[in-house]
Parts: sequence; structure tokens; C-alpha cells
Amino acid sequence: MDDNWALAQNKERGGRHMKKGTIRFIWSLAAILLLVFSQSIFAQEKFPARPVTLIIPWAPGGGGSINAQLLQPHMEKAIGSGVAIVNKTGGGGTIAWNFVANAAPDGYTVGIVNPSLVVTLYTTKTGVSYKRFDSIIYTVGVPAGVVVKADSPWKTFKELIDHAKANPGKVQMANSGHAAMYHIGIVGIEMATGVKFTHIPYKGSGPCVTALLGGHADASLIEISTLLPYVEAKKFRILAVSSATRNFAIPEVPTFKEQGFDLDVGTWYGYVVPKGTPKERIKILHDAFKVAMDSEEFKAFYKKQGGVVEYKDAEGLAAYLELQDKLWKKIIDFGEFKPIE
Amino acid sequence: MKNLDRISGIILFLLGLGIFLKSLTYPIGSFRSPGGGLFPLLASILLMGLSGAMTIQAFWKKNTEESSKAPFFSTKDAPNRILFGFMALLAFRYLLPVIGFGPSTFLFILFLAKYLGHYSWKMSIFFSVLTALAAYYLFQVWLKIPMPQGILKI
Amino acid sequence: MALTPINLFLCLVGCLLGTLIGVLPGIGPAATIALLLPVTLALPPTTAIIMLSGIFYGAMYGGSTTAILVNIPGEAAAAITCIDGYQMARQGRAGPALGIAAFGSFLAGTIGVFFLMLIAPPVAEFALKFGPPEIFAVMVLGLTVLNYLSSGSLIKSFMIALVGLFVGMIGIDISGVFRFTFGMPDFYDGIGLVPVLMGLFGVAEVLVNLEQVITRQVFATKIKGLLPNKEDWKASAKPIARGSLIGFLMGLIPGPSNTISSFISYAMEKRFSKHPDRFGKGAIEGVAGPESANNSACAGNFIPVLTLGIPTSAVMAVIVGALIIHGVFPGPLLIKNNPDIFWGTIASMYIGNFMLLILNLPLIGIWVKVLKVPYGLLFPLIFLFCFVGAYANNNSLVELNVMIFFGLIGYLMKKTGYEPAPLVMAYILCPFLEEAFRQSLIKSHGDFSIFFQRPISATILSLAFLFIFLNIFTGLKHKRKRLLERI
Repeated sequence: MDDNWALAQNKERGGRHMKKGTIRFIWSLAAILLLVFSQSIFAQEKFPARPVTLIIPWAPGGGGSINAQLLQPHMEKAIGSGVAIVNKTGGGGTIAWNFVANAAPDGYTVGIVNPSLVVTLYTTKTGVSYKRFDSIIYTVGVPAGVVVKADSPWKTFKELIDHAKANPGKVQMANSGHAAMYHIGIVGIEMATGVKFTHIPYKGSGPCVTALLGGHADASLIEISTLLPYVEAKKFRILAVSSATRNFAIPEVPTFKEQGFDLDVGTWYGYVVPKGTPKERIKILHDAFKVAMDSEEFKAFYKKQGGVVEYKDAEGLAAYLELQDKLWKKIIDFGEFKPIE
Repeated sequence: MKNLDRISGIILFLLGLGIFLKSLTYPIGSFRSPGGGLFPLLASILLMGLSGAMTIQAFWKKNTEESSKAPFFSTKDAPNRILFGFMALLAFRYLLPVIGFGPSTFLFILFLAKYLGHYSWKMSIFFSVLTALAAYYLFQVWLKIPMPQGILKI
Repeated sequence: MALTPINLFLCLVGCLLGTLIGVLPGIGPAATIALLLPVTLALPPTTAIIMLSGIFYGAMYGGSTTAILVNIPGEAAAAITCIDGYQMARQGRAGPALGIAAFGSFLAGTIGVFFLMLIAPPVAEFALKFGPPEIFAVMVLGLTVLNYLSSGSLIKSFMIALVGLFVGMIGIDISGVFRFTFGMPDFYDGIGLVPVLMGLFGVAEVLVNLEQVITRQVFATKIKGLLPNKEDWKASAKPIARGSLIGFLMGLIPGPSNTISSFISYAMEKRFSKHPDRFGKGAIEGVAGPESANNSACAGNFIPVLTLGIPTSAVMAVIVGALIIHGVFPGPLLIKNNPDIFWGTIASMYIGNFMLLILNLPLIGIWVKVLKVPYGLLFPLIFLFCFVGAYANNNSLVELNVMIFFGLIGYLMKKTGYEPAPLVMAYILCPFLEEAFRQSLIKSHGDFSIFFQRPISATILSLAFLFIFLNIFTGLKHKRKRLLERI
């Protein structure tokens, strides 16, 4: 009888116990499941799980596009997913930059930036502040050179400036676009040396080259990558270069610093994502970019172009953007460029 | 043509006037450093001059037999047909982002074939379905042109 | 050398793609070439250039096809072909029109490449002398010649050209001012060419045809032959020759040289013709000349790129970019440093032209059958075609509105005696005209005499004024004749 009772008790207790056990079991199961799922809900999905898009603000064939195209194949290998290049032209680059700034900060939308980002902030109403981006990496800088035709009477930068001082407004400088970065660069030279040029606007660096070749302008400020073939063909002479140190492709050309002023008005390319992108994803992108940057093709290409391949990490790019912002703003204020509507 | 000349002349004159006034709101600059408004200003003056001349000429010209009797629309039905066609274009344009490329194409072709082409319902449906499918495959799938997708997400 | 099987094959692929692109408006050669750039990265540079040139030429051929068949130019240069080509199609002569366009393009292209080979460097040097005042002069000449495009009233064509100028001014100008944009960001870079073309040419033409109940055929049912006959050839020989020369010369000048050369050729043929009133009603010279001109202009386009490294248009810029990516830096030393690229490109142009001729001739039979579709079913397709083209141009619904608007305008224009071609041509010329105008004035510090002090621009401007003067003179002569007849 006792056994029965005991059994019954046991059963009861067992039942409750089993009930308790079941409950405990269910709770533990739930806890385990929660942990398991929380790993996938709250932790990162594997990034990138789908192709990353590089938004290029310029037409294909141009310097920025080429920079991205050189990096793309190596990035794809390094990052494990596709890297798509999308050209979104217009607004001097602001359409693409707005697009990237407004995109979801999930690391799948990456933008490429150059000095025009900083310049257009002040010269257009659609400009985007670099503060709306998180930097990834800086890849290369191509300095700008003050260039004249080879048969021009000015053999040195000083001769050009002296002539310009003596004849204000007579020296005609071709620029790649009104209020574009090289136009502002030339105004920067005016600011630093106190001369006054006449500025003739063209659409892009190509037409500036044509204008110089045809004698329709006296001089210009153009990225040296465009100029090198003409220097080699003895059609152009570069009088001074904007980098801090002499450029390896044209070692005989003095720098702006040697002339007594410092204007880092060359072009460069860096990559950014919308602000708020998770740091781990930025790191993944950064590492992929770095691998691509270190590739032989990238280095060889820019060696031929006079480009200075230089690595700056995310903080480096962010700091450089601040420096550039101060520099360009100073010239823009001097030249009284205002956003026009 | 005489009446038409008068009307078109006046319209063009007004267009020129409008552009003239708008160009004044842009920086004109000077000939030394021409601003954005200079070129439209000059061109609009030219337009006003020419259209003014043509309108005046149209008012003075004596009635000749050929032109003034010719009706604007060549058939009685024409205004309705043109209006229908035009409305169809607008409808297609505004349906496109709502229901997407495929369905909009289907409806567009259907109504045009039926009401302007005077085909039967059977024929129109057949043709419009065929066209919509072909267009979908050719443009959206094969050429990968990103078409508006609308609520149906097609 | 360049004639390896793989190069030939890829040239064919390029030509096919290009033709397809040309037939489908809204997807221009520049965009396609850009899309294919990553693909070409895997190819050696000579091969890449050959393929890209194939696309470029193919697009030219394809664009004329739709111009003739349905009055929709595949790209701007083909807009001139619409004028007489489409009329020929309506008369059942689409075959001969397509045929002469293909043959003319082939002959002109070959002649152009031939010239390119012989005299590229000195001609390129000459082209360099074209600074802002000269370019302005060329654009003014283009505008004055526009009058020859219409068979109607001179003053109307001039006025509609002015309207075209205004359409071209929409958007940001070279000093950063947004003009006539009515606050719409879609217009900041201007109104797209493709929606305007689709509307003015495609939609408007259909609307006019819709007035009739569609029982009658818009296109003549009896197809009169598939290829040009002997008379056609006789009539077209000189236009092809003249067109080739004009096209090649104009191709050197930066700017919309393909388009300008085609309408200067049209104007010239009309002027030199013994029966100028045939133009606009299906005169084959109106197809032969312009088609030849715009093809040899392509060869001319390549010259500044190959001899000086300067791209003359968006498509050329992409090709230059392709070269740069492959490590070839176009510049004055290209011929010396990379002769294989230079000669490879030239060879590809010969081959490309030939391939396109072979490709297009059999297609004529197919295209002509398209016209046999009853108009009641054909016109919705034409509308659809315009829609896709206008939308695909920039993925913009706003551009569809532009197209519909210009369709309405084009319809009204047709009913009141204004022709669409001067509008489009002026629209294309406008940015170059104005930019050159302003650059010249900046250079001269406001002195207008700069246009007349320089020999080249002075000559061209005098030509332009001569044209205007002659126009007014013959106009007055006609008026006097009619007055005399009344008496």
C-alpha cells in the first residue's frame, strides 16, 4: 500500500517534478534558443552577403572611374563578394555624394571622394559636407602642375609670375570649369602671389589641353597625369607642381613650396561610407581596399601617371579632409565664390 | 494658314517675352565677362522681333483661297482621336510607377489597339498580352533596364 | 597584326551590339561602351579598342534604321535622315533608303579611314587652330545652314531654331547659374536629348497620323524594290562623295561634329540640286549625303584622339579611358610608342565598316517587313518604343513627361507649318555656341572684333553671312517673281 502511495506520491511529485522539470526544460530550451538566435539577430550577418556598390560621381573614362576600376578586381577577391561600379554623374559630383550620404549605413554603398567634395560644399547649393561620411581609406594623390606650351617665353614659374604682375589680367589661364577645383587652385595662386589672371572656363581638362596646344590660352593648372604624355612629346613644360615634395616623374620641376607658398591643390582619391556604418564593416572594406591598393597593377599604373600612391587609413583620411576643407575654404572666400541658384 | 500664323506668331512672341523677362533675373554681366542671362536675353529679343514681324505680316496678308479654308483637323473625328491618344500617353506615364512596366504596357496597348486601331476585344487582348510579355522579356529581363516596379513588384 | 581571328570575332560582336544599341534609342553608345569597360579590361588593348570602335560605328548604322522606318532617329545625327528617309519609307521605298544609307556609310567610312591614314597628323594640327572664336563661327554657320533643312517658311524655321536654343539653355551654364529649371532638380543638367527626339519625331508623327481613321495604310503597301536601283545610284554618287569629305573635315572639330556634318551635307545637296523642291518628299540624295557625312565624321573624330590624345566627344572620352586603363596613354607619341594600337584601330575601322555593310544588307528585308504590320498595331508599338527609349535614357519618369510634352508641341508644330529638325539641331548646337561665344568674349575682354580679326573665324563667319544674305535675296527674288506674275 505504501508502495502504491509512494508510487502515487512519486507520480504526483514526479508529475509535478516532471511538470517542474518540463517547465525548467522549456525555460532552458528557450534560453538556449534565445542565445542562439540572438547571435544572428544582434550580431553581424556575414558581411558582405551581397555585392558592394561603388558610386562614382564622374563619367567612365575619367580619373576617378579609373581608380575604382583598378581596385575593383582585387577588392572582389579580397572581400569575397562582388563589387559593382555605378557611375552617377551630374551636379559636379553632388548627385552621387548626396546619394551615398543618404544611403543606408550598412556598408553596401561606398562612395569615392576627391577635393571636389570639399569644394562643391561651398560652391553649390547641393554640396555635401564630408562630415556626413565615415572615412575608409585614402589611396593616391596626383599633384597638379602649372603648365605652359614648350615654346612659351616663360621658362620658370618666377618668369610667369613676374610677367603676370607686370601685366595684370593679361595672362590667360584655362581652367577645367568655372568654380571647379582647378579654377579655384589658380585663384589660390593669385591669392598667394598677388597677381591677377584672366580665367577662361572650359569643360574639363581635355579641352584645356587643346586650348594650350592651339595657343588659345597662355597657361593652365592641370593634374600632371594628363600632362605627362605631352611633356614627353616636348609639347608642354610644367613650371611648378603642387605637391609638398618634388614628383618622381618630373624631378626637375620645382614645387610650390620652393616658390614660397604652399597650396596642396592637386587631386586625390579616397573612399567613404555614409556616417554611422558599423566599424567592423568599415574595417572589412578598408582591408579589402588596402589589398587592392597594394596590388602590382595599381602601383604600376600610377607610377606611369606620376601619381603618388600613399596609404592613409580611416583617421588619416578624416584628418586630411579637415585640412583640405580649411585650405579650399580659404581660397574660395578669397575669390568670393558663392553658391549660385 | 493665315489664322494659324497669327496664333503661332503670337504664342512665339509671348514665349520670347517670357524668356526675356526671366533672363533679366539672371546675372547678365557685361560683354567683358558675360553672365548667364546675356545669351538668352539676346536670343529672346531676336525671337520677339521675328515673331512680331510674322504676326504683323499674317494680319496684313490678303486672304488667299488655299490657306484659310483648310480646316485644322483633317477629319471630323480627329480631335477625339488625338485627345484619346494623348490621354493614353499620360495614363501610361502615370500608371507606370503604380503598377509597373508589364501591366501598364498591357493596358496601354490594349486600349490603343481597341479604340484607336478599331480591333476587336479578342484581337486587342491577344496583341497587348503578346506585346507586354515580349516587352517585359526584351527590356526588363534581357537588357536589364531597371523599370519602375509599382506595387505588384514585377 | 590586327587581323587575328579573335579580333575579328570581337569586332563582329561590337558591331552587332552597336547596331542593337543604335536601333534602341535611349541606350547610347557611350553608356554601352562604359558598361562593357570592365569586360574589355580582360582583353589586350588593341582588341579592346577594336571592339569598342565596332560598337561606335554600329550605333551610327543602327540609328539610321529607325530614322528611316518610323521617323525616330536612333541618335541625333540620324535626325536629318528622318526628313527624306522616312518619306521614302512611306512611299514604299524603305529598302532603297536603307540600302543607300548602308552603302553610303560604308563608302564614306572607308574614305574617311583612308584619309585618316594619310593625313592624320597635319590635319590634326590644323584642327588645333580652332579656338573659341572659330568654334563660334562654325556653330553660327551651322545655324544659318539650318534654314535649308525646311521646305517651308524661312522665318518659321529660324524662329523654331531659336526655340531650340532656349531648350538647350535649360540647366546649369558654364558660370554655375541654373537657368529655366523651374526648381526641378531633374532639369539641372538640362533636358535630355532623347526624350526631346522621341517626342518631337516619334510621338508627334504618330499623333498626326492618328487623325485619320486607321483603315488606310500609312506606309505604301507595294514595296518598290529592296535595294537602290540604277537611278538611285546615279543620284547618290556625288552626295556620297561630298558627304564623305564634309564629314571628315567636320569630324576634326570638337563638338557635335557628326550632327553638324549631316545637316551641312543635307543643306549642300539641296543647294546644289537641280530640283530642290524634291527634298523633304523622299529625295534619296537627302539620305545618301547626310548618312555618308556622319559616318566619315566618325573617322574624323578619331584623329584628335589618335594623334593628340584629345577626346572630341563623350564616346571618345570613354575610349580614351579604356586605353588609359590598359596602360596606353594617348598623346602625341601614341603613333610612335604604340604603333600597334594606332594601326590596329585603323584596321578595325575598315573591318568594322565592311562588317556592318554585310550585316545590314540582309536585315533590310526584315526591316521592310516590319512596315507591313498594319498601322493600327504598329503605332502602339512605336509609342511603346518611344516610352522605353525616353525612360531608359536616365531612368527618369520626368523625362517621360518631357517626351509627352514635346510630342504635343511637335504635333502642333506639324499642323502649323514648323519643322522639328531645326529645333533639335539648334538644341544640340546651343551649349557649344554659347560656350564659345562667352569664352571668346572673356579672351578679348569684351571686344567683339575678335571674331573678325582671326582669319579662320572671319572666313567662316563671312560664309555664314553670305548664306543669310543669299537666303534673303532668293526669298525676295521669289516674292518679286510672284508679284510680277500677278501683274
